[in-house]
Parts: sequence; C-alpha cells; structure tokens
Amino acid sequence: MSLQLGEKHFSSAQPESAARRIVTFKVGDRTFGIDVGMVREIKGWQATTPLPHAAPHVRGVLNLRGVILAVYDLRTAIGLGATDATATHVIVVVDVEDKTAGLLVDSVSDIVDVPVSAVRPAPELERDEHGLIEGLVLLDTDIVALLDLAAVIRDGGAEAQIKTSRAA
Amino acid sequence: MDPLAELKQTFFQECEELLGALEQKLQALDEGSVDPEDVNAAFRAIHSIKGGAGAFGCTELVGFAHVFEASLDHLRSGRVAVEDAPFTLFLRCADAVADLVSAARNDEPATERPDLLAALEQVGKEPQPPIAAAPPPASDPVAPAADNDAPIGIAALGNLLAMVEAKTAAPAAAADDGWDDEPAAASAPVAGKPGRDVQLRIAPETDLFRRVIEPRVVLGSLPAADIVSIRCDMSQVPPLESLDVSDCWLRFDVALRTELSIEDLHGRFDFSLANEEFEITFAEEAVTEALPASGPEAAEPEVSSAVAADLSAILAMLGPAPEAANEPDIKPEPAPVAVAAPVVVAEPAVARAAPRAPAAPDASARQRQAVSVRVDLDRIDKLMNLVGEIVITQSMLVECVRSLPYDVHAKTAEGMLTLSRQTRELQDHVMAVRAQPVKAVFQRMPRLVRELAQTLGKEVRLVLEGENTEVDKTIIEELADPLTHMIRNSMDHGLETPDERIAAGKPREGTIRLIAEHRAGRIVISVTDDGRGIGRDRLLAKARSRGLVGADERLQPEEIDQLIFAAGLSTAEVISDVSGRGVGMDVVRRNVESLGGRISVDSEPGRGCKFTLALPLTLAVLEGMVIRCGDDRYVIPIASVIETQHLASTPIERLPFGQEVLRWRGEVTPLYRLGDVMGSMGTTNENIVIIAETERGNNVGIAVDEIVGQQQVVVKSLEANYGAVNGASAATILGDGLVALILDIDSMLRLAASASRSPQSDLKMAG
Repeated sequence: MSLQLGEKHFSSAQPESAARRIVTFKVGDRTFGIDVGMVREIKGWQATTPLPHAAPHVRGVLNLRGVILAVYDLRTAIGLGATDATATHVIVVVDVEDKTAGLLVDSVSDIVDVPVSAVRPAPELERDEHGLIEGLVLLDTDIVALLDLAAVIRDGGAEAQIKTSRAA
Repeated sequence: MDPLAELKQTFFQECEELLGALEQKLQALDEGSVDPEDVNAAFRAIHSIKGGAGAFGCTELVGFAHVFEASLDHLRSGRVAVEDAPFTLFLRCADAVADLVSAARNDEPATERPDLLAALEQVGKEPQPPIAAAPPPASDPVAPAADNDAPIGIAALGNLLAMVEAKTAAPAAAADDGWDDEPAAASAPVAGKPGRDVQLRIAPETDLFRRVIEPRVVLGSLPAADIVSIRCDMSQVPPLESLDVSDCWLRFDVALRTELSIEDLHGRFDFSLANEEFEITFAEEAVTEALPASGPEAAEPEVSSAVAADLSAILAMLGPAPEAANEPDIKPEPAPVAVAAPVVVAEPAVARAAPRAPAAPDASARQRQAVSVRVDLDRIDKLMNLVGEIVITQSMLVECVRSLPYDVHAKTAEGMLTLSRQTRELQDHVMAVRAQPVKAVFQRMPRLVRELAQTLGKEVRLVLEGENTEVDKTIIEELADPLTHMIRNSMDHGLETPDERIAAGKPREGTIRLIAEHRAGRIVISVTDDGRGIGRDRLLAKARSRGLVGADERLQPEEIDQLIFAAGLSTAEVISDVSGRGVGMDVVRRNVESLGGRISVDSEPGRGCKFTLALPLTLAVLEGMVIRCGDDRYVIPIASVIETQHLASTPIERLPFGQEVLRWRGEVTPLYRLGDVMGSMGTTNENIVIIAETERGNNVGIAVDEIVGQQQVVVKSLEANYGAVNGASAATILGDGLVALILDIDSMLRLAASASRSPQSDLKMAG
C-alpha cells in the first residue's frame, strides 16, 4: 500500500508567488518537513536488511520494485534512539541529489504551502552538529523543522562508515 | 539523428576497428611476419579509412591517409622489401591517423604532421605524388578500384560515392586521377566524332535485379566508344532504413554521340529493358521515340577510350558487393552496402579496372562481417534487466509452489524445473551477447607504450596474453582507465632507462606483460614489469612525512607496497607529465573497488613489480550460495566457494593472538565467524563452515548457521543509492522480495582485519 505523490498533482497548482509546498511528518511529537518535490512516494514500513558497520541511523536496505535503497531512521538521526518499527510506521521515499533513499518516520501529517519569507534560518543548535535542520517554519500549531536531506543521508554513506570503522 | 550523421558515426566506429587491424598487422610485420596478407590487410585498412574520410569531407585525414597508403603500396608491390620497411614510422603514422580520425570525429582542428608526411614520402625509391597539391576531397579520395577487396562497409560506400561523384563531375579528366591503372587515353574527341548527339534516360523498374539484369549489362550493351558521359542518378534511392536491397532505384543518364539509328539503340536494350524503362532523345530533333525494337544483337563493344575506362570503373564499383547480395538481410544496417548491393558478381571488367587489387581476399573477415550485427547497447541492457526480473519472479514462484500441498506441488514440479532451466539458458544467452574479448581494450595499449617509451627515453617490449578472454561489455568499458594507469605507472616508475638496466645486468629492453585470464569467476588482468620494483624506503619515508604512517610504526614489506594505493603518494623524483602527480593509483583503486573489483601489487626489489586487477566477469548476475547467519541471509558467490562441511568434523585451534584456524586438507586455514564479522543480528549457532578462496588464491573458512540453497542472483548495486558496503560487493533480491548482501570474501577479510587492528594500520582500507 503506497501513496503516490506525482508531480502532476502539485506542480501545476504551484502558486505564482514564492512559496514552498512542504510535506510534514512526525517523529514523536516533533514535526519535520521537506519540499514536496523531493518526495517520490510514501509507503508503509517494510523489513530492511541491515548493513554491517553502518552508521547507527542507517536502518538497512530494502527493495523498491527492483531498486535497492537505504532507509534512514530519522529518530536516530536526531538523537532520540532507534524507532521500534511497526506496520503503522511510514517510509518516505525521497530523491536526494542523484540518489533515492527512504526516511523512516512515525507518520505523515500534511502538505502545506509556506511563503518563502516564512522560513526562518535554523538557530545554531548545539545538538544539530551535522546541520540536519535547514530552517524553521512556524505554523499555527507546530514548529516545522525543514530537513536538509542531503545532510541526513551524507552521514550514512561511505564516509561515515570509515569514520566509524576507524573509531572501532 | 539524420541519416548522414548516422552514417558518419558508423564510419567512425568502423574506423576504430580498421585502426585496430592496421596497428595489429603493422605490429605483426614489425615483429618479423612476412605474410603478404598482413601487408594487404594493413593496406586495405588505411585504404578504407581514406575512402570513407573522403565521402565525409575529412580533408586532412584523406591527405594523410593517401600518402600513408602510397607508402604501404610500395610494400605490397614489392618495391620495398618487407624486411627493410620502416615499421616504426608506419606505427607512428597509424597513431597519427588515429588522431586525425578522432579530430574529425570531434570536429576539432587536425594536427598537421609534416614530419611524418615527409618521412613517408621517402619510403620507396620513386618520388611519391606530392599530396601538397591537396585536391578537393571529392576528387582525391577516389581509391584504387581494389575496393572490392576492402571490407565492405561505410568506407566502401564512401569510395563508391566519391567515385560516382568524381566520375560524374569530370568524366574526361577522371581517367588519370590514380584510381585505375588504365593508360590515360586522350579525352574522347567528342566534337569531331561523326554521328548525332543522343540523350538516353535509363529508368529501370525496381524489379530489375529480380529479373537477373544489372545496370552493368544494360550499359555494357552500348558501344563504349560512343559514350560521352554516364551519370548515375541516385536521387530515387530511398533512405537506408527503408531500402530493400533487392530493389533497383538507380537511374542513368547517358550522353551518346553515335551513328546508330534509333532502331539500333532500341535493339540493344531489347533483351534487358522494357520499352517504358528507357527514353531516347535526339539532341537536334528533340523527338522521343518509342518504337518497338527489332534490331539484331550488337557486337561486343570495344572498350578503349577514356570514357570506356570510366564506364568499366563505375561498373567495377557497382560490382563489389557479392557478399551483400548473398546475405542482404543479416546486417541490421545494410547501409554501407545497400547502394552497391544489388549488382551480382564482379566480372572481368573489375579485373581490368582494378589491376592493383590484393590477390587474396580475407575470406574469414568477410564471413564475420556477414554474420555480425550491430545492436545498440541500450537494447541489450533492457533485455538484460527484463531477464533479471524474470529470474527473480521465477525463484519467487519456486518458493510459492513449494508451500503448496504435495499433489499440486508434484504436478507443477516438472514445469517449474523446465522453467528454471529455460530462464537460466535465456540469461546465459543474453549475457553471451554482451560478452566481448578484452582485445578491444588491449589493442589500445601498444600505442600507449610506444608513445611513453619515446617520451621517457626507455626501451620497452609489450607482451599481450589472453586477449581473447571474454568479459561483459560493462566491464570492458571500465578496463581502459585502470589499465592505462597501471601501464603508465610501470613504464614511468617501474622500468629503468636502458643505461640503468645494463648497469643492473638486465637486457636494455624492458618487458611489460599484460595478461588476462579467467580465475575464480573473475577476470584477472595483470601488468608485470621487470623493472626496479617499488622503492620501499622512499615510499615509506614519504608516507611518514605525510602522516599516513606513524613514525614508530613497523610495517611489513608487503604492507609498504600497498601504500602505493594511498592517496597523494608519488615517489617519482621528477614529476613528469606521464605520471607522478600522485593521483594515479589511489584513483585507480577507488574506481576498481566501486566496480566490485580489487587491485593489488606484488613487488620484488630489483626484479620488478606486478599489478593485479581482478574484476567480476559481469556486473549483472552471479551464481550464488544463499546462507543464513542469525536473522540475516547472505549470498556467497559460488565461484569463491571451494567446499562446505560441518564445523564439528573439523578441529578448531586458536593461535596465540586469538585468530581461530582449522586444519583443512593438511593446511592451516584461518576461520572467521560470519556473524561476528558482519555483525549479524540474532543468536548464531554456527555449525557449517564454508571453505572459500580469496583473490590471491588463499583459502579461508567462514562459519555460518545454515546453507539455504543455491541460485542465480541478479546483482543490484548498493552504490547507486547508498555507497560501498564493507564486506559486500553488492546486493540482490531474494525470492521473498527481501534484500540480501552479496559477500565479497576479500573485502570481508579486510573488514575482519580492521576490526582487530589499530586504526593507523588500517590505512589501506580506510585511506
């Protein structure tokens, strides 16, 4: 069961004024967002195959219609420990740079239009040492942290492995 | 892409093959072959390049090739003995031709090579016709009519086009332009000749060839002495992709000055053409006649004038495609031969017009051409992907069926078995389509060595072995770069100068061996030189100064050698433009590893150095053993597996520093527990040991929980969406849709080693 978010639904409806269309999702009580254009599809949790000596937030790899992609646990990435994944958890399949990756989150909340001017730079968070947060958006109820997906994924790749294997 | 550009591209592809053949033959001759067929083949190659180049207006290429061809012709004719021929010069010229071809291909300005041209001019006693006269491409590229022996292809088409153009543009002047050896008769004295001017339009039906009639016969029935000009109108010829080669689309306009009556003319075509297929117009009267013909057969026409020579040459050009006529359907792109194809067999006219034709056509080469097909790699890739999906679906089906009740299962079993055999065969065949001999890459290397030898002032002999070893196309493409780097490295750093070699008691000439072979399901390519070997002291000093190796760290000699693959290390005293910037071997290693391959070096000081490159035969599928360890399943390439056995039956011993070993066939074999190395989840109860072979031929034992089965798996890249994974070369999708890692024994061992060693000595895997 997966929800396809094709461009055809949204790009034509893109307002003329500078606005960003954001997909928001939850990890615990926090809300995160990414540009809708980066989202390829959203699917239910599916078992992954762990990778040896990978960074902790690299959950493993899965088969998406013949393509193998890595799934990153956002909860681990932001320092809240590993997700105990169940059928209700969600993998957001995203295109980052030239790669496809999965982002394990608790649930997908909404799609919102945000004026570019409403995006504030992320405060220098001491705990965000990898620069995962690109900016913040204040909605009525929530603060949405916009993710720098490249940073989330870069840290899981080969470089991080060398770091960890060196430290080992 | 427009048809011409497409033709041009095909021409350049052919050029590559021709250049390869040229170089190979020259090399063979240089090494002492006296086979006249080698000379002929070299000549034909350059000749075909010249012809095609002319058709596409590559003036510089034509000019150079012309002089080159002329020099080679001296060898062919025996004016220069093969033993005395300057093959070094010829090889350099072949390189220059390759440069000109690539310049033409990329639309870059060509580099002039007056030095080589001048040297070529000196070959042979007689002075060569100066190419400086640089006739325009349309008239110069006219080749010796020996084309019927050239490989039929675009190049030959080029010749044809060029000839037709030349003939039609200047029929009278054409006889002395070098492409036939008929004595250049005076231009036909048309004006003074008695008779009437007649225009003949010959427009045969498209079924002409099927009536077993050819233009040569039709035109040959005219008295040759009366022919003023013949123009071949090819405007009707349809685009190549829609051309049926058994259709005739050629039209001819013939100008005659003749005393024959209209009835006589009719009579001459009586047996070959229907009345509506030709039209006779008298210049003065402008009357079109269409009377039924009744005249007697004409006598055998005389062939004597310059125009007649033209005629026979055109006929010769129309003749040289018997192969194409035999196998018109096999080539998917009959383009090169299409225009010439319909005409049946070369006749004495050919021999007359082509006295320089090489004696023995290369029958086997023709055979190959006739049955080979050029297919876009994309199409094969699509096929390959599809087959990959089928393989996964098939193994999924097998698992489904197994869970069915026995009676259902039994009924389907045979079908499933057949299906799996057929799937496998299908896959093998698709793979075979993509396989190519490594020759495609190897044959670029002699040139590299030649040029480097000159630059570096070294004397080098390159020995190639196993050129026919086949690997998947995907691998072929990836071979060129690492090989180039390895050879550069050997030539620059490994081999000494001639003086140094003599001082060291070695022969002046260094030897580099480039050897390809299949081993353990991989292609292993080694580059061995007999030079000075790796300067370990210098290498180590450099690594220390860069902080890659700790000052107090002790390294084994082999470990020092591996430093050559560390980033930013170069030990050359003089940084040359050949290598020495220190960006060589580390880049090579990274590229090779990203392909699931490995590169290693063995060096013996003073004796030489050997780089070994091991790559998978294909990047697409492999035969694997599926194993389980804890909760995780892995695939071990069957090619690496030597034997499996129960761990209980083999005594395990523990070495002082903790490494477990087992005795296997009387040898001490290190044992690794897969669960520990790969960090598998779940409890492990390792009671099976798999004896596997590493690239270097050592054996290791790998303890696992269970052998699940054996199957062909489709290799899926981990790098595409993630990155390299230590211990695994790639991943695959098993029948249940889950991903399993494909283990890479060597990489796994390094992973195990890195876990037990200090981070600093971990340099070669992390750096």
